[in-house]
Amino acid sequence: MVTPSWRERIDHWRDSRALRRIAAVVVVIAAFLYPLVASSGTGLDTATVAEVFILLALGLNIVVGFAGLLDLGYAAFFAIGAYTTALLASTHFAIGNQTHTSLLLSYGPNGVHVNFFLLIPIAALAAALCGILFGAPTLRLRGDYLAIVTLGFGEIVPKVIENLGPGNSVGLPNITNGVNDITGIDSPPNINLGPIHWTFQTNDPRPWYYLGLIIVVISVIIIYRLRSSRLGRSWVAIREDEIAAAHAGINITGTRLTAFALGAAFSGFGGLLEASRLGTVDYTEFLFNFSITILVMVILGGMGSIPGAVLGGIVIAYLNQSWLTNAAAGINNFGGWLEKGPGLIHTLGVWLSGLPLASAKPMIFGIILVGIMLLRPQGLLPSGRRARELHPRTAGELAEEDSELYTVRTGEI
Amino acid sequence: MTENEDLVRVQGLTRRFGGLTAVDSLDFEVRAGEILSLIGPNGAGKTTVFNIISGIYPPTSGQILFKGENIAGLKPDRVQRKGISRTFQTLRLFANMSVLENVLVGYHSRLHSNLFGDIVKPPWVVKAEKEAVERSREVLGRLSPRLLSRQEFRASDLAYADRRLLELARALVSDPALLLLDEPTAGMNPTEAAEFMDHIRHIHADGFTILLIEHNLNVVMGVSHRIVVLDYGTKIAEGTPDEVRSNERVIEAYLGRKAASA
Repeated sequence: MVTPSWRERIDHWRDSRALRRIAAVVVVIAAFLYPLVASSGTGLDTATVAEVFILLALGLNIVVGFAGLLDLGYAAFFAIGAYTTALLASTHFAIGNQTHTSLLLSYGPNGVHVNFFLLIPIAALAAALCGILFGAPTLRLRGDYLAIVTLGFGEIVPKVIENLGPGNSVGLPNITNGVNDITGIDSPPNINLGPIHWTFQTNDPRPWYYLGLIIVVISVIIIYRLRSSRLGRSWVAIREDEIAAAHAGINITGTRLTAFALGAAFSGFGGLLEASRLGTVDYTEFLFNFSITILVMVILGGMGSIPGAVLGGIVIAYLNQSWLTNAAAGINNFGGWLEKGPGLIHTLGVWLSGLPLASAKPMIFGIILVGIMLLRPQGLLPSGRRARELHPRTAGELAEEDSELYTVRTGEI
Repeated sequence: MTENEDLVRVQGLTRRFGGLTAVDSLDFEVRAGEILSLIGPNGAGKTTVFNIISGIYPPTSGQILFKGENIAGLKPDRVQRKGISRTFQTLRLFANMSVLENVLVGYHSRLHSNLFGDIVKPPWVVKAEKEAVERSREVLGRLSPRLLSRQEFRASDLAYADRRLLELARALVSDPALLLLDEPTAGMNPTEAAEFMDHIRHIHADGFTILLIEHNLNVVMGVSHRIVVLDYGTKIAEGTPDEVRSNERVIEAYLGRKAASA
């Protein structure tokens, strides 16, 4: 077999980039056609949850994957996005006794209602501002220290929400409705654009799915552009060597702050989508274990990889929503099948079919994670950079390339 | 700026670490267009001087006038933007970025963009980015065609001497008024070191002003216009290579009192 020359390798890489582009288009088209073949409404509901998870994974991937900042409290920004939506588009805040209505905003005794499409930038901005607020004093810290500080923020935000309810001990008015949650959050207005008729108030999950899909696609495009920009390069440079990056003229704190703020912004989109779809927010959804779940999506998909974050979000959503239940039921059913066997196999079957696996889902989840990370430590769809990191060229390969370089040169002479 | 005008004027530079005075009221100047070497035995304070100039830490006291402006205490990225680039004694590359990306990062301060430009990519941003790539490739090619042909390689896959060259390219690409090179030939064999010194001469011929730290005395004598000798954080000699070579205090610092009197 003739090994490809270094030039062919580069060409091959370029080709594969074209290939990737085609693959991306195919995936997007398939995603748009998916509701036509989805068997049931619950399938689409899971897909919509997956879209929110994808947004979260994409955002955290900027912080952890690109900029190399370990954030253990990322769910806090998700909470900010969701609660921003809840406060600005629900019956929660009653103001005065007269209702004022305009195109994008109405307020009165029935609460504040900001138009959903205006809320898209507002939720993202609110989350990003919190990212800056939390980041500014702490991003001078590095590695483990930063991780602990973000852990703290992840704890603080839900606690603050919990304690700003009615009759709170700090003497403030009821802002977040505390442990009572906020309910009655607005759905997006109905959309009638040519052949598109989306009604969000009914049980039809399709409009939600499409809305989420559009936000995901736009987010992916934005993040791809960011990654290949001057800013994206600075993030990676800081991750690789902070001191060298500073001496290349990169403002370390400022650049990290943009990673933190932008990462938070995407979870703002996620929070908006989640809050308006469920119609209710509950601060206990945003605790530490959910921060870790988002981190798992990023690592599972492949740190620093955009397709990886998308796949990681999908896998975790489906595991949470259906696969784990199916797996537990499958093991029980397998036991039922074994019961028909003789002697020892029968005993094993009885044991398996009787196992209370519904409560053991986290364990199955853990086993699956350990398995995937052992088989693919670089993640399911690793970025080129990360893959190279784990599989560096061998001395032999390099020597070969050297000799080829030499041949090419002498050939030119 | 005319020839021989002072580009950098270091005045009374002092840096203490706890009880240790690493640099003690040091004065020297770098003239535009020259290669000035900073030499001295281990622990003389050479790298400390570099770290203060490039902004890793502020001086305890003293001034660094660069083009007449005091830059002492500025952060590294600000110093770089003023026009001072550096390399490191222990290589500091972005190991998992490609060769080209490493050089592009060096061009960072020459590119201006904001979030809008990075996301929307209007024509002027695309054009600037393209120019950055061209300029980076030009610098790589000028230093070493071999490096240019490996622009897609991961930096850590390069041979050691090539990595040194890459670090130099990253510092050069922003067209700095002053280039700080901290022991660029450390860890090289004599052939590689000689080749690297040729590169430094070429860079100088292109009009760069260079401040060099070097351990290898043969290298220093061959390439420098002037030499500043440090020992225990103070300047013990200054002058042309010939002047420094015959200076008794220098011989004493390097070889001990006996050799000096012999």
